[in-house]
Amino acid sequence: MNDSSSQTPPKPLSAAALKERKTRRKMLVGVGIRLVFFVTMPAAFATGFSGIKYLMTAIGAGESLSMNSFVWTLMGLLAFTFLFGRFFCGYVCAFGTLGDAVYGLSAWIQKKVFHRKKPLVFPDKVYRPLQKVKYVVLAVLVLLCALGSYSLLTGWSPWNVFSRLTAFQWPSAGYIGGIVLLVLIVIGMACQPRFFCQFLCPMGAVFSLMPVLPFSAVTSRSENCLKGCQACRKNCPVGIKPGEDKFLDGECVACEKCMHVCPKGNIHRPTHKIIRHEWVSLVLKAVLFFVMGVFLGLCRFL
Amino acid sequence: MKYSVFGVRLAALLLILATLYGYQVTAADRAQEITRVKAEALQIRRQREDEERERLAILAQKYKNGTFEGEAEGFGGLIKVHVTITEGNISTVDVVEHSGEDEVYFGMAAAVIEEIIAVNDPQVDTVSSATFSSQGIIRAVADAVSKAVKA
Ligand code: SF4
Ligand code: SF4
Ligand code: SF4
Repeated sequence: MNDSSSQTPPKPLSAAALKERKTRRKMLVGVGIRLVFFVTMPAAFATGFSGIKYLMTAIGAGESLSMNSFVWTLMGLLAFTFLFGRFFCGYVCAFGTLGDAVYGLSAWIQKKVFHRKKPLVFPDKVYRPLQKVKYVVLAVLVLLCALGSYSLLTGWSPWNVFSRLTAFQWPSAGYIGGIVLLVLIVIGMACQPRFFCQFLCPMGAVFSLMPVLPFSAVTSRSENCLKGCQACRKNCPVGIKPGEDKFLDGECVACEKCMHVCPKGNIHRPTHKIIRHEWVSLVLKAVLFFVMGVFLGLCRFL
Repeated sequence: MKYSVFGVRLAALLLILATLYGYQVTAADRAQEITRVKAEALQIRRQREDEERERLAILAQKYKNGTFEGEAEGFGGLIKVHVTITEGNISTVDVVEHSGEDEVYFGMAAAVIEEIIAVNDPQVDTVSSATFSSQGIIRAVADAVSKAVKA
């Protein structure tokens, strides 16, 4: 030990307190990042999906493809996911943020008003199959585009309604279907973390099929695990143990919650060895995404 | 993500990209062919139209000459345009106000302007995925043109 310091040292914090401070700081930084993106780029996810819709429509019609701004946005989002995992889903996407906000509020109400110790979640048996539904949604939408009949769904898009609302415009009368769906989705969001993301989002379906560079993905070293421990899986919004669930690994939205709940510190991202402070790495990714978003024209103000 | 999972996914992704590339090469060839045929057809049509126009002379002109202002609701606010009409035809459309639109969408939507000028009529289809912005432009042009219609 080094006792040579002549000043009275500040009261040392216990390891647990230090860890908690670290987690708190990172959480606050995360909330800040999400607020900024919610206000500045609320339509990014829909724009990325428009890229897919455009490609499929063009292919269905036998036209040659052009690099328009939708396709650039799609490529930007996919490239970012390839490099850093689903940071977009975890911290940028306005619809993901909406889901977490709704669930957070609902969990708070359940605790304060109904005195439930643990907020409601869907049982395992129900939500594993539900996670596959998004691939069906994706397939149906893609097929409709390819057949050139996507316009059948005009007025049914909950994303359209949501993006109108973020522009402070009331959706027009033709959007009843979309409004109803959005309300149903919000109800779902209150019952299960990341309800829309894991069960329904067609863009999420694409993201969850993407390869993520192994040295930047969230992974675990399970040989050191406590016997019977399920803490990471229980606290994960999409119910996985990162690095262990093979195909399901794509569900990981890179929120990094599991890192803080593991009693053994078994969960990590190799990139954190390079950037030691986790909140710094979050901010760097956010800045990088923001710059990319501005270049793609996703920002509402710049 | 385990390396094995990563490898499988990467292979699938590369396969998709390769397919898209293959498609693009074929489609581009086809598009070239189509453009060529279209250009020929257009030339023939132009010739006919020229003859027709000579016959009907200036009588047939649709609109009054001048610059007209028009506006309409877009995605997030008013879109204002200046439509210039020369020799009775829509010759330029300048968007002077579109601060409520998201740039990505507006860029896509602006494609309707070329079409409006080409067909000399604001009645064109909206751009899918950028419905609100393109509809806004179309309606704003229609508003301007309505002031130029000959009584
Ligand atoms: S899964 Fe879809 S809605 Fe959820 S954060 Fe990702 S893009 Fe957004
Ligand atoms: S808790 Fe961990 S495994 Fe689950 S989504 Fe967040 S980062 Fe991924
Ligand atoms: S929380 Fe940690 S110790 Fe427990 S199962 Fe997950 S990785 Fe293993």
